Amino acid sequence: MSSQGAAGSSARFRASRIGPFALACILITASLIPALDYGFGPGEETMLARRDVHRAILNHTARTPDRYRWLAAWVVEVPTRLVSRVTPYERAYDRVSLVFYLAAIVGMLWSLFAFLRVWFGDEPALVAALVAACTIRITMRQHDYAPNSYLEPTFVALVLLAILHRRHLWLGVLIAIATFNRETAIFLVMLYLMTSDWSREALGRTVIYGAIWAAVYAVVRLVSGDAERYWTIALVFRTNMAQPQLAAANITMLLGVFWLLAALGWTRAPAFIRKSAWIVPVYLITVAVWGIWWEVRLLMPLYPVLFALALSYLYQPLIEPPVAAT
Amino acid sequence: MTARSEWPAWVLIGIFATAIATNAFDYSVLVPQHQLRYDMHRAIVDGTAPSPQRFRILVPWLIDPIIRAVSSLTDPEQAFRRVYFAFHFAALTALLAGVYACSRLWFTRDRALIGTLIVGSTLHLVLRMGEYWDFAPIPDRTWFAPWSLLEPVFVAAGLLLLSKRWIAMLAILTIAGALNSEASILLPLVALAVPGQERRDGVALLALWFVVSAILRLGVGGFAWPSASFDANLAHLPSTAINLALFLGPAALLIATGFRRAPLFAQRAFLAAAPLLIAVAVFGYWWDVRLLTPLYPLAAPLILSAMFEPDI
Repeated sequence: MSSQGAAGSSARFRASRIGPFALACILITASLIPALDYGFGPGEETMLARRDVHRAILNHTARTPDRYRWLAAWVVEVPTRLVSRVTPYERAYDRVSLVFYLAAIVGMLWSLFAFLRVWFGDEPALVAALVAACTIRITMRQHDYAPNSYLEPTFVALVLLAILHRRHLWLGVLIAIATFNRETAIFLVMLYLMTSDWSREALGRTVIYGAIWAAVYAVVRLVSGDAERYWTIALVFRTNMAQPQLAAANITMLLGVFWLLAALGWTRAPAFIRKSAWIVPVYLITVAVWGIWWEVRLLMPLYPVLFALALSYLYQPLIEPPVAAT
Repeated sequence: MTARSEWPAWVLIGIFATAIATNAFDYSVLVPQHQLRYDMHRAIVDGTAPSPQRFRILVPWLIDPIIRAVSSLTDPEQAFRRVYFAFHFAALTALLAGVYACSRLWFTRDRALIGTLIVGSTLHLVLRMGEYWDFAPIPDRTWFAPWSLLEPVFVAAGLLLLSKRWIAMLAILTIAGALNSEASILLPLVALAVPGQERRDGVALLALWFVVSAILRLGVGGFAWPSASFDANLAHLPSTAINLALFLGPAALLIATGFRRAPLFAQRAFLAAAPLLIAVAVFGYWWDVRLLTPLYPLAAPLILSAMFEPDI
């Protein structure tokens, strides 16, 4: 694209900004029903299991790996204690959790939108966020407790934005917070490395970010102690082999045609997106070995990268964002 | 941002299919009471269903021969489930395609797609059948309602035909719509309301709709006037409030702000739904927001008008 063309694109980009009120209305609309569905949908048995896991995380008695995923439990617990002054704790937990789910899904869609708009402008970015909203319900089944999964894509999108805008301090803070959410925050460190220029400076920062992750995770492990390990790799494999067709159906429904569009978009994507896409095979192999395949919530952290690839097939991206990663 | 080029049709169809796939799967597979659906389908085909379901023959009559053909390969109930799964998938895809086509009358492709996906993100509400929440499940008789998936498709197709003034095609659509459900009265009402149309065409379409509906009821027999459902509705006011609030969520606020900026055609088409809403208020279960699905293609252009300048 010529500079004139890029300027033209930028002008169009600015002209088609979506106002904050309309954006808020749309994102809340798209999030309300999934949040209600996740909050109340699974039935009493699952609700009981959720409360048990929540309490067990706070008491450091949960099984691994839930025991080490503090963030969502603490975010929900603080307001739950306040609300439980006027209503029973269980009901307070359910209601606060519902608000948490709504906020988490809105935040996820907004962060996806915020990252994609850098490359494609508001309208394509909103299209992608709404597609994610339309399909999110497939991520909400076949598990009891996973509020942390609805924060992960937000962390990925925010980390990518921090990398793009060279907010190194923010990146460190995000990695620290994300490690309290889930141990998979290590992939955020990898994202930084993959999108960097592999200079000495970038390698140095990678070490620092890796150290932040390791320090936070070590604290979490030390405080929470060793936990019973239910899911061994052998059990995970046997479980996955039990219903591969369910995994195939869920994976298909998660992104549908966007799997194909993402593959087609690889060659057309901006360099930054292509670099960040190297996380996809690494992450998929990890999920394939340690994850239950039909729990497609595990794939949600790939949303920002996969949608960016897909949109690269459908749209001419802005030539490069205002700042490039180092 | 610029588009690479015009998208091939498979991209749009793929996006619509992706957006509805989970809903189609859930609506078809995660149904605790398949037998209710099967029985109602058979009853409509046999002409023994209760009124008014008995007269909503379009989908069951069209699909039954396919089910019979598939039944030669598998047992009838499985054939029923599989064929209806395919139907739900196709009908929901067509629903979004219809909303998109209507929005596209005044908005660019991307903006029309945004309006379509807003609808897509709320679709689950009208499809859920009380299997999750204890918010007053939809009555047993309405567990089988394939016509509801086609109602917005008919409305969208009607708007497109009206915009091109293809009245003969609209007449054919009105006949098909009358065989689908009573909500198709919206087609002649819209024809009467929107600008740039001959009023006599609208009157003729309305007469045609009444004639087809009367012939259908006389031919099949067993017509009974629907009874008002005020008592049941008043007993479920909280559920009604929740479901109405969720129907288009806060995006409904955008309808209000977008109405004045919307093209006259879109404004009038939306207002033409008022008699349908009154009928739902009198005869329908208010918390069953599935009855409002014909509004989707009428509402999307108004939502978009709140955000973007329509191309008039």
